[in-house]
Amino acid sequence: MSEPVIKVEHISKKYIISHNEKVTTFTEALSNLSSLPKRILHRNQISEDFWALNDISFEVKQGDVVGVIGRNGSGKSTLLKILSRIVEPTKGKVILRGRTTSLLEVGTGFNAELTGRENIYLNGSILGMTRREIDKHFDEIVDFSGVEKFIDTPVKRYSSGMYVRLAFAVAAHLESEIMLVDEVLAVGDAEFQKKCIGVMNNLARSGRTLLFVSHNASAISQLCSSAIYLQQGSIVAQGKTQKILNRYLAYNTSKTTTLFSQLENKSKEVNLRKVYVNNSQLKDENLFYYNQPIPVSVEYEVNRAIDNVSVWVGIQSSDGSMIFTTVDCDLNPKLLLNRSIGYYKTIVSIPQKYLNIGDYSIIVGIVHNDPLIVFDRVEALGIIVSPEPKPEHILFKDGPRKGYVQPLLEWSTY
Amino acid sequence: MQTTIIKPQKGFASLNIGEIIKYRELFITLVSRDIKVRYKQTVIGGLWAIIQPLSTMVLFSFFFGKIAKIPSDGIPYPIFSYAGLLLWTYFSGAVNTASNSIASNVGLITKVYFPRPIIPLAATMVGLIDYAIALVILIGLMTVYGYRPTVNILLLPLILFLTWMFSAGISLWFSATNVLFRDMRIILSFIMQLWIYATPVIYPLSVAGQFKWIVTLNPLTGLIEAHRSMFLGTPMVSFGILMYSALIAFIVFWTGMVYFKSVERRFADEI
Repeated sequence: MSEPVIKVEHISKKYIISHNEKVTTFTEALSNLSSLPKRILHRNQISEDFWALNDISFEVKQGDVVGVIGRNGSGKSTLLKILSRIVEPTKGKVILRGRTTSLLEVGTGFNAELTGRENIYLNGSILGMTRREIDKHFDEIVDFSGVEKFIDTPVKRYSSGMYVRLAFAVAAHLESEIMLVDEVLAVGDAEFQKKCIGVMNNLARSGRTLLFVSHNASAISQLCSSAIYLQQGSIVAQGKTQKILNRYLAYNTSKTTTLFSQLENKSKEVNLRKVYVNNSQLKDENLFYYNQPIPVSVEYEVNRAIDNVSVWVGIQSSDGSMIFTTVDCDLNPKLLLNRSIGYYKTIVSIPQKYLNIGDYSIIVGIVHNDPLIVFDRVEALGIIVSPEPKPEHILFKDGPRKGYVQPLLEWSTY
Repeated sequence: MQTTIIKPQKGFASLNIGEIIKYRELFITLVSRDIKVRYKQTVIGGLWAIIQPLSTMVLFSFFFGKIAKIPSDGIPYPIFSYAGLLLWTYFSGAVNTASNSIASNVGLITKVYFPRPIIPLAATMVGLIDYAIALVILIGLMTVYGYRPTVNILLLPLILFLTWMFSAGISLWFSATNVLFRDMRIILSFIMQLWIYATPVIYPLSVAGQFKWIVTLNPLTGLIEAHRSMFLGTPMVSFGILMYSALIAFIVFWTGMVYFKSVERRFADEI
């Protein structure tokens, strides 16, 4: 069959950003009626259009596995929501040929009070399975999830790992021809993600059409034969995955991502002013290759000469575990003695080939030790570590490995 | 093969009843979810369905029956008011729950597609279980007081259907509006508080005298009176009043559907 199963024609989506405070209660709406004539006269200043998607067209043939990649805010989630019929496009048309299921999250509609068994039926029918299909796959789903012992226990007593496994097990047994998948793979540990990629690969091989949306280059490269690169609501490039990913991760001029910035001057002794990462190579500012060091810059201000103050930087994994913390006076205890008034800038570099593939948060704090006073603590979100395009090692050949750090160590074999 | 076409809707949306029927399994699943969750969450579970109308009945019997001596068509006041409260409790419970149902199912609305009217329609069904439980108490009370249902009891399914349709219609209106204006719920609970006194729940229609026609303008009047009559043999409302209630219920339901369908496309953007 040569006809495309997904045909997207000139899709655009407009959001209206109101600069007025939005009316959210009925009483407000009523009391605003009196000022209506005035508002009609001046209405052109009140709001502004924002095109989340702008004239998107593409086709997907049956059995294709297509990745949609783009940074946060590039419109990829909006595109997926339109294809899933959750939001309506402002312009354009989409034709889907075949039964379509969208997986925008794992465990949609799960209810904590209900048992695992009840949730399988609930979640399955929310995702569009018939009761018969769920009956047919029930044992496989339970098997796959590995929670058979707790299948009649309310899921509120499940560990988060069990919960995710059960939810994913339902999704893995969907029987639709077209599947639209969001970054569900972002949940769970590395081993679970590997399992997910395996399932997706099986689905793809069974002749199903898959549209997979992610900002994770490594997941896309493992799954998809072709890719679409979105930027600011438009398609920048589409074609063979490797070509598109190279472009997505393309070399570019030096860029700085500010993770945190505080302009107003608070009257504390020490103020954190700015936290940023310096990315000299990649266009995607907070994305780093495994073989790149990650320089974290912290700027702070000392308003009164003070001793016993230290600045620390912590790296937290996406599941909330602190992987390590480093303090500016670790190797330089003299810093503790006295900090005179002034504006300071300090850089700490996380070595290359150290953090495993994944998403991390950078946490920065300034404290006074003994007595402990926390002057500032910010969770400055988001860096992504991804495999380099042409690695000289075979570390991530089969997907990410388990663990938070991934040092390359020397082995001696005799 | 199933082909889906997605494009912006212009003007009035079609009701697409066929699609709702296609998703009937999801409808049943959502009803059973709400029932299970409702009876699992509270320790006393199903007992709650009895306590609510029963305690209201005891209170009303004391204040309105004993102290204010409101007439009750010659029926002992406790069963008289309980028979009215039974249907009223279902109606007000359904409207209150279902009107908030879109807002309380945000997780579904923003993550999967299905015909949205299913949510408020399913939410209005759950109260029928409470109704059935509370009905057992009514039968018990009738046995104690020595009353038997009349032959009109055969109309019970029709009365329940009309009450459901009316509550679903109101819920369609309010649940959709509640997404746009979050204080709709407060306004609604205020309306419901007044509405019980505008309906012959705890007094008979006969006390209204010359103002009877005003009271019957309320479409619930016919339903509550008919409901009580089939159990206790109080005067049955005329066919015309019943038809009027049915007509209003239908109009509210239909316009509710049309209104709901025309604003539902904004739900995921607004929530």
